Amino acid sequence: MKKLKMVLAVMLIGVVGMHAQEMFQSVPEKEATLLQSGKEKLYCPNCGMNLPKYYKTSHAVELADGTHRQYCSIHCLVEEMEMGYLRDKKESVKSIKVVDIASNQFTDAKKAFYVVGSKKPGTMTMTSKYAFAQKAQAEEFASQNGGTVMNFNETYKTAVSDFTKDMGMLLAMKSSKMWQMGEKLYNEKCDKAKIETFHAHSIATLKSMIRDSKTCGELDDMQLQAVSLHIWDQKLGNFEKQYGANEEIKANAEMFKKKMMEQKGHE
Amino acid sequence: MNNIFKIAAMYIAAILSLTLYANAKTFKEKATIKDPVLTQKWCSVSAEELKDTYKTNYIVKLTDGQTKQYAALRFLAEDYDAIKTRIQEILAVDAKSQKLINALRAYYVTNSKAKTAYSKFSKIAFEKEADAKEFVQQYGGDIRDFDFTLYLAIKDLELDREFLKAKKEKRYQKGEKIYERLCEKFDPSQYDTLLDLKTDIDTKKRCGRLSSDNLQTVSLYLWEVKRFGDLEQNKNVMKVPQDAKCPVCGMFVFKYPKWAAKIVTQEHTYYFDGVKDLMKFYFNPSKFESAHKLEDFKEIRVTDYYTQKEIDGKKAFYVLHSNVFGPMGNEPIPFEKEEDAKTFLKEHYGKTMLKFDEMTETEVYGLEKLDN
Repeated sequence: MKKLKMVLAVMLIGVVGMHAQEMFQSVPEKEATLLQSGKEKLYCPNCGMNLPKYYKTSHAVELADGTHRQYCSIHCLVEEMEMGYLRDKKESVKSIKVVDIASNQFTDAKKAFYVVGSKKPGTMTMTSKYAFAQKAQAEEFASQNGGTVMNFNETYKTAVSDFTKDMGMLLAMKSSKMWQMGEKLYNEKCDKAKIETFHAHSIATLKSMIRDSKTCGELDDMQLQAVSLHIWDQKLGNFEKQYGANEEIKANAEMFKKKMMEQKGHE
Repeated sequence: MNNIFKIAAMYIAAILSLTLYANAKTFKEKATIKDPVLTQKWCSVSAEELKDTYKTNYIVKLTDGQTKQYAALRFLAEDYDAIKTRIQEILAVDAKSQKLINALRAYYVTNSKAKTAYSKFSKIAFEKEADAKEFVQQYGGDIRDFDFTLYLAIKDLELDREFLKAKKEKRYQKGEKIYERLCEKFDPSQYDTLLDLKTDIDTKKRCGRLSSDNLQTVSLYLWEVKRFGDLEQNKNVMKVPQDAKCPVCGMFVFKYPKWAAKIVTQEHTYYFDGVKDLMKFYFNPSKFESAHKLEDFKEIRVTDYYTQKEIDGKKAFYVLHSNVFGPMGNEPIPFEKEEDAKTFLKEHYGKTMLKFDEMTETEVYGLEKLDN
């Protein structure tokens, strides 16, 4: 319960505009290793979030052709592997990498030591997961922040079993904050006719198109993310297409929303 | 002589290994035990024969005493919202022993190469983890729990409907023929479910004696098409969403059904209010803010000017520079049949008739020049 409150508090602060560098996950953009390329390389292909901002939970897959896809979190890796882009391409995944938070460099995820469920906030999840290349450092982190040291397979399994719950939490966040903020920006600042002409494969591409075309003026990353989410999820109907039938997520979302309201009431 | 035997032996070995390889992808769902548990003959949702996919069957016992049986998890997923508050017990068929097991405690192999009838990505249940692991050895995939697998099945519904669409459209045509020729005429909208409809046709012999396949075909046609109007009325006409805008000119495409055309890629369907704009986009997608490449454009559909039916754009014949104008002016005008294109060319003073592959970007932009 304490953990939930903390996660919600962190997320709320995140939403109301905390500076990126103050988040535990963040590193300055120039210190982040971006393994993918292209105009959208700064963003997670699955959710569009800024990779340096969530760098310490970043994962990446290396594909057979040598290119990478880089994610904000193991949640997005799971989503692409289990039901998204990589679902029928698993043979082409040559390796999985994760950021070692002791060095902020990528390391082989299969050999990494994860601290699962510590009090440090997670990315896209209620159960935080941070990785280390060295076992001793993971144990040290766990003794200070709580959590259990696990290998990649165990951590991945946890992410899979957390998935529906986490989706509910994310829907609560989106529907109570991000979509509204995005819609407002879209209505006030964007050239709608121009956006109609954008045809993006992923939310990351859409986000980079909005950024580069300045069709919504100058936006900071969170505004850019909000407007992209509004267009991608709501206007293009991708959220409904993917999760529309899933009442489980909606029920989880309602639960989280209620908790968020309670939390707000306490402050 | 020896050589011939050697070659023959090699040939046979090659065939054997090929069939073995092919078998590794096909997974037979049909019951192979003598006494499969069938609480009913047909699936509660799809009305398909349950024993044909018995190894992926589910039985759900509801708190109100009702029992439902599904041909696959996909159909349970489709019904889930309707039953979820009344579920007492969910039983799955163990794909290995074909016994009924507690679905909540089963091991599911997801995203494997095993093909099943009703889902693009199969989901196969096992009682024992060891059996699931053995299956993964053969077919690949991952072992997941019930909650996640059901979640996946619900999320895949859209994908699975799309997956069966092509098969279904053929079936509708056949179903219409059966209905017109063999059935007494009745109102299919009087039933609550497809299963009720099928059961009624069968018990009242509304279509005489039908094979089980034909019975399913005519039931599907009545339930999914006839209930909403005639096949002829909505057959093969391109369906354009109300909010689809042409990426080239920005106009709403549904306003111009006579000219509607589309490009289907894995991620998107692009709608155009004429072949000219489609071709502009096709030759240079990046000009219209699309990250697609020409290779992504495998499926192209256009509207035949005479029949108004949706046809394969890559096989169509196009008449250019005629005196017939579309919403965007001069257009390449599509026909399924070459004779139709030739007739049109003569009657409407067209200058050229081209196949899809013969059109060039210059030719397309040339349609907009004044001297035509």
